Amino acid sequence: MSTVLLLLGAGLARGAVFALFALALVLIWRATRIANFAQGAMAVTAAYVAYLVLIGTGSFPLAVVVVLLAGAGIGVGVERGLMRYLPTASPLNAIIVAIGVVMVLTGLLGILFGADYKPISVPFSREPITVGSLAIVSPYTLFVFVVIAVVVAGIGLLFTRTSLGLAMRASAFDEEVARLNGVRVVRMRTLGWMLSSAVGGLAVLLAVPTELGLNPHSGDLLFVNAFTVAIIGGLDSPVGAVVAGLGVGVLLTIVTTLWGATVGPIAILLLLVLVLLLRPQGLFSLRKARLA
Amino acid sequence: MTATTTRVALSLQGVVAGYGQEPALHGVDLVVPEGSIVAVVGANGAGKSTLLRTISGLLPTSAGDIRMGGVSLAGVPVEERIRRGIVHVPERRQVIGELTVEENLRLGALWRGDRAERETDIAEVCEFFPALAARRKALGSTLSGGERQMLAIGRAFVAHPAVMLLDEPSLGLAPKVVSDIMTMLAWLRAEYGLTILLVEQNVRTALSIADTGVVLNLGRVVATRPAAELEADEQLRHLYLGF
Repeated sequence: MSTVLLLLGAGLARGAVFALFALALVLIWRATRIANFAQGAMAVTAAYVAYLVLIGTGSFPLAVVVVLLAGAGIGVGVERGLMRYLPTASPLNAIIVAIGVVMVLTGLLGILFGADYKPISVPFSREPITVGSLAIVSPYTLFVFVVIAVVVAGIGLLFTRTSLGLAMRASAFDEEVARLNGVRVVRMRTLGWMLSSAVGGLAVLLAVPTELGLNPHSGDLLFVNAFTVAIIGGLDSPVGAVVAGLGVGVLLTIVTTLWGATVGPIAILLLLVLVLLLRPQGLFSLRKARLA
Repeated sequence: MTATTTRVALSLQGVVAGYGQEPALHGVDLVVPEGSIVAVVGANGAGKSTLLRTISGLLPTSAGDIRMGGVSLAGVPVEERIRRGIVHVPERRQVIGELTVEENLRLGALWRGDRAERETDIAEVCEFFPALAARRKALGSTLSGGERQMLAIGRAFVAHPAVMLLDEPSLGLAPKVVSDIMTMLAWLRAEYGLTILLVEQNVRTALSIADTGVVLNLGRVVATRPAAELEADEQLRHLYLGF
C-alpha cells in the first residue's frame, strides 16, 4: 500500500513537471503555430539566471519569481529578435531557427558556467512524510504540486475568464477574424512567447532539484518527454497537456519501477504510437489533425 | 437630430487593389452616405469581395484613397479599423468554431472597454436571434449556416460600428433565413442609423433592402443607381447581372 502511494506520488510529481513543460509548448503552438524546439534551451537559460539569484540571495522562492521573469524576457527576445521575421510558409523555418537558438544558448551557457552540474538546494525536505506507517510524499513534491497547480489554474483563468485570454484564443484560432475584430494579433503572439517561456523556465527550475543539478543540457530529456506529452494530449489543448503529463509521469514511474529504467522510454514511445494511430490530433484536441 | 442624409460615411476614390501583379479593382469610386444601405452587385469575379477586403485593410491599396467620415484610412492597419467604425463580416460567415457563441459575440465588443455595456449588447443580440440565445454555450463549429450568419452579424453589431461591410450574407442559406437576415439589416439601419455596404450575388434580395445599387464589373463601377431603378433596368441586368 505504502509503495503504491509513494509511486503514485512520485509519478504525479514527475508528471506535473512534464505537464507544465508541455503546457509551455502548447501555449506557443496555440499562439503562433510553431513547435518550439528551443524551449528546453530557453528554459535552462532562465534557470541559470535563477541559479545566480539563488546563490546570491539563498532564497528559493525569489529564484522561482526570477525564473518566471527571466523566462518571459527570453521569450520576448527570441520572438521579437528572430521568430517574427521568419516567413511562415513552411513550418521548417521556425524549427531550424529554433535549433540554431538551442546551439547558441547551450554554447553560451557552457562558456559561462561550464558543463558541470550545479546543485540547486531547496528549503524543503526531499524525504517523504509518513502518516502512521505510510510514506506518502516529500514536502518538496508537495511544494512542486502547489506551484504547478497555481500556475496551471492561473493560465486556465486567464484564457477562459478574461478579455485578454479571449483575444489570445481568437488570434490563435483565426488570425483574420481576430484582426477584423480589433485584436492586435502581433502583440498576442509576443504575449504567447512570454507566457510559454516563463512557464518552461519554471518547469526546469522545479525539476532540477530532483536531478543531479543544473547543466546546459538539463532541459533536453524534459523537452523530449514533454513534447511527447503535448502530442498525446493534443498540441492545441492546455487541458490535454496537463492530463497527459500527469498520466505519462505515473506510467513512466510505474514501468521504471517494475521493469527498470530502460523500459520507461519504450513505454512512452508505445503510448505515443498508439495515440498517433488512433487519434492523431491528440486525446483532447478540439480540431481534426493538422497537416502543417 | 435634423436629417443629415447627405453626409458621407465612407468613400473610395480611384482605388486600385488586388492580389499579385494584376489588380482586381481598377480605380473604384464609391460613396456610401451615412445611414444608407448600398448594395454592390456583379458577377462572380467582379471584385466584390476584393472591394470589401480592401476597405477593411486586409488587402493593401496600390493607388487611390479610402476615407471614413472624411479621414483617410491610408496606413491604418486592419485591427485599428474597427476603432474607426468599420466592421467587416467576411464571406462564409467567419465564426470561430473553437469559441462558444457567447465568446464569439464578446470578441466583437472586445475593443470597447466597457464590460457592462458589452453584456447588454450581447443580451440584445440574443433577444433578436432566439436561436443564438438557446445555444449561448455551444461551440461555433456546431452551428448551422444560418445560425453562423446570425452570429457573424450579431458579432459585428456589438462592435458598435458606423459602417458594416457584409460579404454575401445570403450565400447558401434557405430563403426564410435570408429574409430574416435582410429584415435584421433593415432594422439595424432604422433603429441605429447603421450604414451598410452589402456585397451580393443574390441581386434581387440585395436590391430589395438597399437604397442604392452599384454594379461592379471586372473591377470597375459601371453603374450607380437608386436600387429600385436598377432592378427595373432590363438592359443593365442583361449586360452585367445575367438575368
